[in-house]
Amino acid sequence: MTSQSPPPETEFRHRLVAPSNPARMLISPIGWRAVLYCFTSIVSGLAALLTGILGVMILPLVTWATANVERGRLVLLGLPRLTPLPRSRVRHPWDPRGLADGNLAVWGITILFGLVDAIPGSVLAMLALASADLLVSLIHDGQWGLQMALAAGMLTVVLVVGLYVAWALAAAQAIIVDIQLRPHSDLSRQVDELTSSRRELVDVFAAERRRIEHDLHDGAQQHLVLLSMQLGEAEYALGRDDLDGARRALEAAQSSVEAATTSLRETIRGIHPQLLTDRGLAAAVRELASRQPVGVHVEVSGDLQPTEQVSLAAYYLISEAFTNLVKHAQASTVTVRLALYDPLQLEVYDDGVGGAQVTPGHGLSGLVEWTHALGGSFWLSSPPGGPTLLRASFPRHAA
Amino acid sequence: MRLLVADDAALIRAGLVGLLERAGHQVVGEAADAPELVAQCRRLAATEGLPDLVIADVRMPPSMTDDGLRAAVQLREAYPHLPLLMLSQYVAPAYAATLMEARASAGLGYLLKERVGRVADFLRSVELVAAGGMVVDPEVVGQLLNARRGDPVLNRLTPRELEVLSLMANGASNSQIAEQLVVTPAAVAKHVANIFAKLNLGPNEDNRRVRAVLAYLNR
Repeated sequence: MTSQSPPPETEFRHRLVAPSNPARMLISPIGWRAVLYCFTSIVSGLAALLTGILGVMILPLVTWATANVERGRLVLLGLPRLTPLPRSRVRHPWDPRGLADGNLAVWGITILFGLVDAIPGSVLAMLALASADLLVSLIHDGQWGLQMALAAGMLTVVLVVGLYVAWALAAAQAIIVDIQLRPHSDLSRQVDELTSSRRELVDVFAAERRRIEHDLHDGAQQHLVLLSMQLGEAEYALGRDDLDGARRALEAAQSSVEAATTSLRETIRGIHPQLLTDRGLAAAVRELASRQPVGVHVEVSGDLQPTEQVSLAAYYLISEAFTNLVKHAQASTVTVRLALYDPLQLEVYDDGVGGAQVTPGHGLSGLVEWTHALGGSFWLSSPPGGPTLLRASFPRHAA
Repeated sequence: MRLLVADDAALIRAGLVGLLERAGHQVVGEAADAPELVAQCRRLAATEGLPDLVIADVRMPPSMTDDGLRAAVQLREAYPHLPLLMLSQYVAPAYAATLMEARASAGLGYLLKERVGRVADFLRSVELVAAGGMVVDPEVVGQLLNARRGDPVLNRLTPRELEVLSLMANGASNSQIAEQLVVTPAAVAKHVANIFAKLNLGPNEDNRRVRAVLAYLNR
């Protein structure tokens, strides 16, 4: 799982590149996609023009619908569909919101390109049909020779030129539509991402609280109840002048108090590791590693102390990785690499059985969201059979 | 008495068993989770006979929520004469209500776990519940009273009567209440009669009265 994909805009332009070799243009999908796009552009443009003239009173609805069609039509070029802004629906046909978010401009562009595309489109289509017709009749008459070569050459040239023209027009229209609509689409994507990451974080908080409650219930509270029982028993024994019984009960009570304190200490460390605040991330990770049931090798490089937020996120990421690998991985070697630079980088490697994944709602997924919230990135590779490599990087200052 | 003890925490279970055995009881079965508790009861019922009392934790595996409580409800339906004493780290009237809803005549107790520490009181509760009595933790009664603050009927009770009410819910008899409040049993009997009159409840004897009061508070 990677979280840092290349910026969508670069990706967008990259997918629109046409081959420079004309022969390859004939078999490249982009050219034929462009032809399809341009033909639908003509239809879409005429529809936009007609509905715009006939429905001038409901222009907001027309422009809104046109923009939606244009968002979807990018798929014809093999591009990702642009998502409309949430809540940008028009409530009634003259709702002025229909004109906003680049919709009006896209409506105009659609008409313009529809009309422009129609001119070379019809000319080239006619030329292509004429030369194809000529070629077919020549084949039919059995005239193999110069004439036929010329006809075939002409068809090829018309096709290649047609494909390049269609590509140029389609790419130009797609880029303009993209420029008009992408800002709103990006915004909508960010809103989606924020919503889901906020939900994840809320889940993490809830899970944390449950975990702490469990820790306290199964740990300190049990020992305290036991302590109360033992003290009660001591008192009961004293009431019957059973000094030995009372002494035994008090000794047991002493152990219960010690067990309760130990358990509380564990719980507190689970909430916030003291060492992390006092001695920094490297020391805390070393101590965490030393408490694992499997041998963990810790390598630290650099000495740039991360901010408290980053330290905590990195610590818990490593802690969660340990928990998971102790539970599932059956690993014999575990290595943690911590590079204390800007950005801070961490790696947890184990030679266990692999198959680890980020399941929404589970510990790791919340930590991934946390990492993202701090502007960091997260990467996990864990093929079935292992090994598992978890890698995360945190910028010193969140972007 | 023959007892069955169910608690998922081995330490606590061992502590309870030890304490009960030293007090002269016989622990005929132990269970570490809710299904085991039910299975042990079935086993005992089929062989040597049901125990005189079941002491069980509310929160137990498998789901670590109120599995013990649900097992108790199940047991109450299957064996209406089997007395139950439920222990919990955390008590709430809602759980007590669930226990009391089951139609069964046998003794019933619902106490905070740490009450076990008051060994003499705890052993008395054990006896009381096994004998068919009802014991509800003062904490539950307190919460119920708190929830009914401003209730015009409860407002008519004097502070002394409220005190008596709490002790009653805790399963204390008139003479025990008298001992604890340092008054004469006759005075306690008068308070009890007043409480029942003010709450419009028919005069009830002993354990039924606890049930009546709790049912009233839980209404």
